[in-house]
Amino acid sequence: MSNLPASVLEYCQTLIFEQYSPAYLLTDKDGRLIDAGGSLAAYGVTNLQQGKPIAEQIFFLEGLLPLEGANLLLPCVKIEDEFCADIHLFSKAEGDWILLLNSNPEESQQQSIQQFVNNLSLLRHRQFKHLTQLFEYLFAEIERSLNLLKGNAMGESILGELLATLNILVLERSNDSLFTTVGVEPNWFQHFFPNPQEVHVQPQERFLFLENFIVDAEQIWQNKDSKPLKSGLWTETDASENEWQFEASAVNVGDRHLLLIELLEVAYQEKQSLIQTARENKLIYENFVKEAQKKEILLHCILHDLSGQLTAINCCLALLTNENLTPKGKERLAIGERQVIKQGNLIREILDAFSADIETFQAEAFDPDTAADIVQSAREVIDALLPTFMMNRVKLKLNFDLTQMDWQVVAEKSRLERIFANLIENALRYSPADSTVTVDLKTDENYIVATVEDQGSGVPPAIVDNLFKKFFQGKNNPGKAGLGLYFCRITIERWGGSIGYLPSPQGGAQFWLRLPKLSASRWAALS
Amino acid sequence: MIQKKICMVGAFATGKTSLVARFVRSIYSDVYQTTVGVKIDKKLVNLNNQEVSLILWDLHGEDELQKVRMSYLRGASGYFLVVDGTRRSTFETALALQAKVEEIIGAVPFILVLNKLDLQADWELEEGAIAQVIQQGWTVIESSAKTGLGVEEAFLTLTQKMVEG
Repeated sequence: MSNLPASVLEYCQTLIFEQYSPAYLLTDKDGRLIDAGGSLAAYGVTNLQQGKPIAEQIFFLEGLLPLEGANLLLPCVKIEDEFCADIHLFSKAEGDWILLLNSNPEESQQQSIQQFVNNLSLLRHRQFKHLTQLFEYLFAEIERSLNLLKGNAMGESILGELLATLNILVLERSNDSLFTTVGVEPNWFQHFFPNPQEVHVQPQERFLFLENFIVDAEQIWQNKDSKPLKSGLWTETDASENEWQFEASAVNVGDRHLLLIELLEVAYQEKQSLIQTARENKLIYENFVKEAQKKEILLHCILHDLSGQLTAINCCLALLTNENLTPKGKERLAIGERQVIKQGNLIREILDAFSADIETFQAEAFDPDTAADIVQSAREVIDALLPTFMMNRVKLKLNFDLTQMDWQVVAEKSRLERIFANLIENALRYSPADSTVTVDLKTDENYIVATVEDQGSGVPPAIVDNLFKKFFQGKNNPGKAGLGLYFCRITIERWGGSIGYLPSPQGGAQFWLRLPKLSASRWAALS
Repeated sequence: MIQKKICMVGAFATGKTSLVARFVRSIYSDVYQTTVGVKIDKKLVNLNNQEVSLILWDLHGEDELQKVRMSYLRGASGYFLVVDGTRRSTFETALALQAKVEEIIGAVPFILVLNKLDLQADWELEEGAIAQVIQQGWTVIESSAKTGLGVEEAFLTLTQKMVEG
């Protein structure tokens, strides 16, 4: 029961086949090839021989067959550095099926992200090593110089210049909690402390960040810890709105308490650039996942539509059996019926293979020009389904108030018809012969409520809460993919409506949906 | 004059820096520039004829590449938990960060800011989850650093809460 035009369906199918390049293999329980097909060459698989063990012909299946127990999914399997495939293995009465689906784009995306993360880890490691060496060298120099200080003013001067060249400001904390500069001040110092004649400096007054850090630094100085404490990076803005990045360290050298403030230039830019790139890649990856999820939804919907059409073909074939066919005609009819069963099985298997968890479904803007007339939509679906109902000896009725004229709702026509088809087909599936399915439409000021009611046994209370969840299949389900009601829910919710289930007072099932009227929605938008 | 320290916390790329830039300098840039470390800004606000100096600590975003140092939060009188409405995972990060922050600095006022309101069509947040935190007594404000919607309101509401103590 598709409402997608044939050209769109054909385009979507081509898209999926081009993207996933599906290929399949069927083996018997001894692992010997029975059948194969699809885009096998895309995975480097050629020259297969029926009856020969598959593992001898396709090396990457070695040890995987025969399949014991549960189905198996091997995502992103890289084959000879050329192809990357998701390998789905599932067992059926006729043998073990192997489904190959192209996953090259996902693999290269993941590989690129992994590469960035690994590069970052390596760089971090190298930076840490360099910093450790630098600090070890500096501390040794400071200690040596301080020893020299007592008798050698030249030593202090050289060290001071060295630190200034490295853009490091050294401040010594005195017992009265004031700071004095040691050695030569680096060039950046005057941008933030323009009065060089001052003896004492209060760096935390200019650098608010240090107010916080000095609390932790005090502990290091009081405890005379030998290990330096680093502040982490922070950014300061000077009077000209230029940004400068610093990192501070608190250290003890002998009995002296030092605060080192280092201007980070290239080191900061490198780190910032790496993190920026990694995060941008992560955002791209998140978007990629979202897109992939949307495509999966599309795939499910297409398969769901194919399944609906197949049901219709099946009904037609069943009706043909009542005709006075020639023996040749009967033979061809039997071939047709077998193909329908095969096609149905294939659709179910693909759905099983793809039943990944899909959480998001992005909203699309609703175009009021495509707003559906709910009476017309219901009527069209009913007309299309009437032959099937007649064949099953079930009546199908439509009730609505003929005096009402305003039946336009916030809904797109083709999707609304698909929703009605889902609900009415479900009702038929659970209806006993000689019963009636009733579609009822009621309107109030702002909404239109549609109900589809059958005279079957109703939905068992234990499964009512799960009815509209994706891939949900009730017990003894006569054979759908568990997507129909999920599709109905997400579509109706996107239009600002709601859908639900109520047991019918007469004992059957009653599904209802509520959609905003277009007139009310326009009025709300104008208000 | 009253002086209050406010910290901006949240997952990366939620718009913390953009919210501060919009509030302090009335500017916005569409280009994503990741924050490394901390940036501190000041803004003077007038609340009921009383001047309050806000010290805004814009902390880098939390993820596997950078963890927020909890020592940055010391002395904070309030904080914003910033969420990107278009990424559900940032809401979960905010919930985890709130628990960590409260453990470190106690129950100081905070506001959950649902940012990127200009992209509301792409929002992934579940109304039920938001309703649940509101029920717990959280203040939730929707904002857009791009259009400025809700930004002033968020900062003034938090200031009010901090001043009231």
